[in-house]
Amino acid sequence: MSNEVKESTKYESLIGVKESTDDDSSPLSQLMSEIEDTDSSEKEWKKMWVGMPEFNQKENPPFKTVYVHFRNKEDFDKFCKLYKTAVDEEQTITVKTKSMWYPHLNREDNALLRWIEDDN
Amino acid sequence: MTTNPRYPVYIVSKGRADSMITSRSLSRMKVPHNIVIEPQDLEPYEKALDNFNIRPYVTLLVAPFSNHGDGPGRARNWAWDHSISQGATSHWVMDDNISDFYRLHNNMRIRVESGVMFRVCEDFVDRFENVPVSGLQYRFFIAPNQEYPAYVKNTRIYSCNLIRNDCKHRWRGRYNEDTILSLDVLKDGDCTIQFNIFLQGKCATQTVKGGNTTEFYHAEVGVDETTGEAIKTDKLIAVEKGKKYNEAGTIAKSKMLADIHPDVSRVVWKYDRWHHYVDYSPFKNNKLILKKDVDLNSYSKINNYGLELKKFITPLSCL
Repeated sequence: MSNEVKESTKYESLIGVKESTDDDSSPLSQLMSEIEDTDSSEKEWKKMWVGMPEFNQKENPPFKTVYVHFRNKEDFDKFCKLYKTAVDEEQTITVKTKSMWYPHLNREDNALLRWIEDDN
Repeated sequence: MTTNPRYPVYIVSKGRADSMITSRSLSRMKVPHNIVIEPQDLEPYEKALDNFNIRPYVTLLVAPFSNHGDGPGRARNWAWDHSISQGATSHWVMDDNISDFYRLHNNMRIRVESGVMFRVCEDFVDRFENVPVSGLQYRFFIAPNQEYPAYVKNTRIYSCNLIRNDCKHRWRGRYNEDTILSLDVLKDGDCTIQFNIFLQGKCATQTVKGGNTTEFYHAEVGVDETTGEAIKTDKLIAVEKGKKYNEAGTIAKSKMLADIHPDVSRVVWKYDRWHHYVDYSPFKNNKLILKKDVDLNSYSKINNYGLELKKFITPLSCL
């Protein structure tokens, strides 16, 4: 516990302060005038990311998404029951279900994983 | 074995002794850290250190002010001063509602249980001359099946910031001080770095009592157009049933940003609450400048810093 450190500056709460946008010499105006079209994104981060932890994060969309429409609640209930008994007993579909995976996505699998530091 | 951050870590906290979410998370990772509190909160926080069994990792720092109404920026500036007094050249400053930290890799967001993730960020940022502010992306902004770079530069840094102590700007503003600081830095032509490889699991705004939720968001009903000041009520506002937020509670916050950085910010109504929209495109060409003694060719291609993915029998437990 320590409160011996003094505040080095008076805090600016900025209540009621309004900055103007008209000044052509503002830092933003100068930055805008210097903009050149250099796409630094992918090439740059990969060039800079040497000697850093591995990072592999590619687009990984589902192979196919199918929207299934039901004409009435009876049909929906029948589908839910059939799906659970004939396709995947671990998958419970309710009226709140918006999407699901086949095979069933077990979220607990990831919850059991952790990045830790090795002992060596 | 655990590798901890090189720079001191600060959590600014007010009225949240009963939750201490970030502190419990860092303690679970065995990361020593400081919590900056106001004098009236000392007793409950002292008790909480034992209740949560986190005392070995926490130093409570009592700020020399209380209930000033200026928002968390003032305490963050004091933490900055404190880190300088300790001889540090940078420091971490975090919100008090970060429940977990994650690594994004191979289309999965997996919890990290080591302080080495902060060391990785420090080492990377320290390669550059002009990155005064960096930090971690929010977990909920990352879709595991989408492509992302390991980091994004020149955008806003929120809630978990690594700050160089020689940064020429300081926190300012009653609200939105994160965005204001990021824009102050970017307008100098300097860079910010937001890491995607490591993420912060943040509780949504206005969902944890105490902090800004009690002080601003659930206590304000609008903004005075003339003075820019928030219009307050005497008692906390009950959030309407079926809604997550006090809709009016974020208007003063968004308006301040639009007033301070009007060239790139505006106020918009979205998802049942007021938001600020900021255009970061003017800063996209702010270039990272490597320090003179940094030779990228001297590094091995990959350094995993000893991080290993392990499967445990039971889900992560809190302390």
